[in-house]
Amino acid sequence: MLKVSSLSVDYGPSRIIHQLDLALVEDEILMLLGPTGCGKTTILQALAGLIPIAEGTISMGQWQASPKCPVPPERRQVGMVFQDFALFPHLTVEQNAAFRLKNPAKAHHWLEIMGMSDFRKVKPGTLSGGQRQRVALARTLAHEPTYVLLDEPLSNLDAALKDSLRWEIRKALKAAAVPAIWVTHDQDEALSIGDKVGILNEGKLEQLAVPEACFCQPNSRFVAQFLGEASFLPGNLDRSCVSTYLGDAPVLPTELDGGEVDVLVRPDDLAVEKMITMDPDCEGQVANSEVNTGKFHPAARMILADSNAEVTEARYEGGTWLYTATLNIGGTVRFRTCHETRLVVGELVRLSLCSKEPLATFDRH
Amino acid sequence: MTRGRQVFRFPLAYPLALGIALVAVLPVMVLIILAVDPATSLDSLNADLIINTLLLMVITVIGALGIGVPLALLTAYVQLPLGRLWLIMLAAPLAMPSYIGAFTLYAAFGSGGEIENITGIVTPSASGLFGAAVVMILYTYPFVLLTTRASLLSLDASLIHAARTLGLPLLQCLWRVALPRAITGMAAGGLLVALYTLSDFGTPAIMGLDTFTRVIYVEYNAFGLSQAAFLSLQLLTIVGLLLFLDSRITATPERPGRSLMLWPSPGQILCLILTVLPVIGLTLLLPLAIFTLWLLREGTGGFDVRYAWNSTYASLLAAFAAVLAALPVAHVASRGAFGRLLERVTYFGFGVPGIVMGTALVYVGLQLPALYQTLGLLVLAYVMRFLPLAVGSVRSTAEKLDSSLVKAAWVLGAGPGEVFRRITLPLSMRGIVAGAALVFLEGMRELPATLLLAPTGFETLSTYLWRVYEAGYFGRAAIPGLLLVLMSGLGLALMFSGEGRAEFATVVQKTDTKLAKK
Repeated sequence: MLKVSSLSVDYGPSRIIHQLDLALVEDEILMLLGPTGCGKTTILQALAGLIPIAEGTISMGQWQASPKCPVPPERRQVGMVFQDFALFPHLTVEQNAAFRLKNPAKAHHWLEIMGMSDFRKVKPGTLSGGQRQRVALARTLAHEPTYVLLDEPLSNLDAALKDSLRWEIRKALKAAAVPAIWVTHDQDEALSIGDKVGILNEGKLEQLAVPEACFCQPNSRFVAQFLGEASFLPGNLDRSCVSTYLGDAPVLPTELDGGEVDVLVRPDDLAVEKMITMDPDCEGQVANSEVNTGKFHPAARMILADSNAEVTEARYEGGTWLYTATLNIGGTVRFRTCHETRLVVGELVRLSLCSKEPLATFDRH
Repeated sequence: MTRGRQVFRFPLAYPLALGIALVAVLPVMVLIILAVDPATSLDSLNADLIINTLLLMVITVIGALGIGVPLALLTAYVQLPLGRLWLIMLAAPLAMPSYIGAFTLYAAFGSGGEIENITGIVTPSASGLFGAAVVMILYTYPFVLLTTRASLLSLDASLIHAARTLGLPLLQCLWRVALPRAITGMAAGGLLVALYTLSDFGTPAIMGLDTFTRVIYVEYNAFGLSQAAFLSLQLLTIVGLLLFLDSRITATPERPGRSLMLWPSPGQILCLILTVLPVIGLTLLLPLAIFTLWLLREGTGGFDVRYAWNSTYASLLAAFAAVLAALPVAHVASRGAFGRLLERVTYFGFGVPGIVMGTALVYVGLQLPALYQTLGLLVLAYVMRFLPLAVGSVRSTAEKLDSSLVKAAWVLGAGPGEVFRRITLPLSMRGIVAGAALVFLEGMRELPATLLLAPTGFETLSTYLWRVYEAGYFGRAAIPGLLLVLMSGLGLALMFSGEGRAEFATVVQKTDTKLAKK
């Protein structure tokens, strides 16, 4: 079991990592997610023993490292996969995979699993990015590490390859049955691959939980905004229910005891009603022009009475549309529709909360 | 339109470089004319000469690599407190003339030396091959240190991290993963050490070791101009061989990345500093101590401030002229095989020992009375000898220049002249400043060519020091010695601050904003 207790790392006079606690069992995969510069890579380097730590301990099986008694990387049985692959350019694929092995059988085994057996005799320079990363992973696993660290292994690859390779890597890690920490800045990658997800912000772990919990029950606004689209809607909390401008919804158990709160609203929690079928030639002009001039057409009057938001931005995602709307009471929310429901910028709509799942609430500042 | 610009971007560079290369081979031509005199003959001294010279060179190169490479690893990767200070102190011997080291080591060690005078401890004397080798190693290892360090810093750390996490201990990682990829830097440094050792005059002369340079000087003083020229040609053959070896070395391009950083524990820091101190002690502290001792003992007798000004003036002129000449040569060298050949030709000057260059240019001066006994001839000698330092420095930064930056400027509508002025030149400034500083430092400490070519009455620090040494009034060396050390120190500071100021990132940033404003 890889155990990290109150780990802190300094870079010069400034503290980069604050009091990090982690524990990984058997073959668990932890995805560390965070914005650029939040200290993700620093944590990996500290866990590998490549940089000194300022406080805390790291332990795995036989050894325990602390600031006073550091354990050098070569004594940790750590495996590390790098963003830029770090294959030795002067060695062949086979020599790379068997770098420190007396018996190359393990190297052949993992090259086979990663589908790289045919490339054994070539130098890494002639391989594509995806092939290089497969070799790098085969090299790491062939050395039988007790835990594996992956530093944005897919960020140098193109999008189409990322999707398939991330699953190959997950399968290989599970087959090797070692705990792994995988650093990424890609939230889809983190949510779909990880057994657990840890969200980092400025060197602090904001939340560490299973992916669904991080997404649906974020314990801070930062986490909510970092994972997926998030809007915050003011509301009044009354025990297990919140009432907002867009309707009522159940909420998650919270420490807040009623009163004014902000409700986390994901695009899928909102339903939209079109107010009028527009004439395609004068999209969005019916309501707008008359609102602006103050002369209300009878039909427009009805629209104004029932609508509660105006579409301000439309983004096509392929299959769905993501819209941003400004509420009549101020503030913006985002919602999604299937591609058949087409709204235009400037159109007035009626939004309502439709979530059956309880929503997360946050104290209003 | 844009294609046409690309082809005719630097139309003047080729003829300019050709002209500079022709001037660079001038001394060789002169030497051949002089050496074909039928009176020259091979004598028994010759075999000893070759053996002495080569032995000194080989020992010096091995020793300089032995000291320079570990120090390069230390200064490149290990995060020491006051990190930059250690680098500057360790690189400082580069700025010191080796004859100062030879002079002070000779005076300090041995029976009757200053160390025995003060402490009463008898030390082995520094003279002959041993003394010359020690001095040469101590004053040439910075070449290896700087070139190897630059190579090491260009390596991305992730390969070493990969090797470490695969279970290879750190020292083995450095040996098996880092150093093989820095081999170009080491080879370049080793070549500079070899060339410097071959052409150094002061150290073997003071240590009493008969190498080519010393004997050439003896022959010249005995009016054996053709014998001197004949020996010089033999020396140049060895130089040619080294240049050929250098041309076989090709660097493998490295991907840019963050270089390795190591944080030692306080105990390790202490150990590292204790191993480094003897080097600093012998190269910097000992000469300073000896000169200070002489200053206190004998005062400032016989010294004139003009000597210092003369040295600085001539060296500054040479640095400026060398950089101007280096620009077209460096440009064509990175354009193709012919340009590379021209660059190789200019390298000859660095191998031509100062004493030989002096001899050749005295002959040239005798043929062209307009040049004879002028400062111009001395500056020309400096430029011809030290041009390769400027060319190498300018070329290495120009080659690192991302070609897409130049293309970006074209696309934004900049003409060839504007591209050169606003993109190529500022981005090469780091190399230009470094090249100018190297030429300046070399000019400051140049002794033999200055001895022969300085106009009558134009006494410089180095020539004054030499006359004091020849006359045996060691104590009078205090002021010129200290000033040479001090001015070299200033030159070194200039070089390092120039390197710092022209940091690549800031230059790129400035260029970006300028183009954006346009």
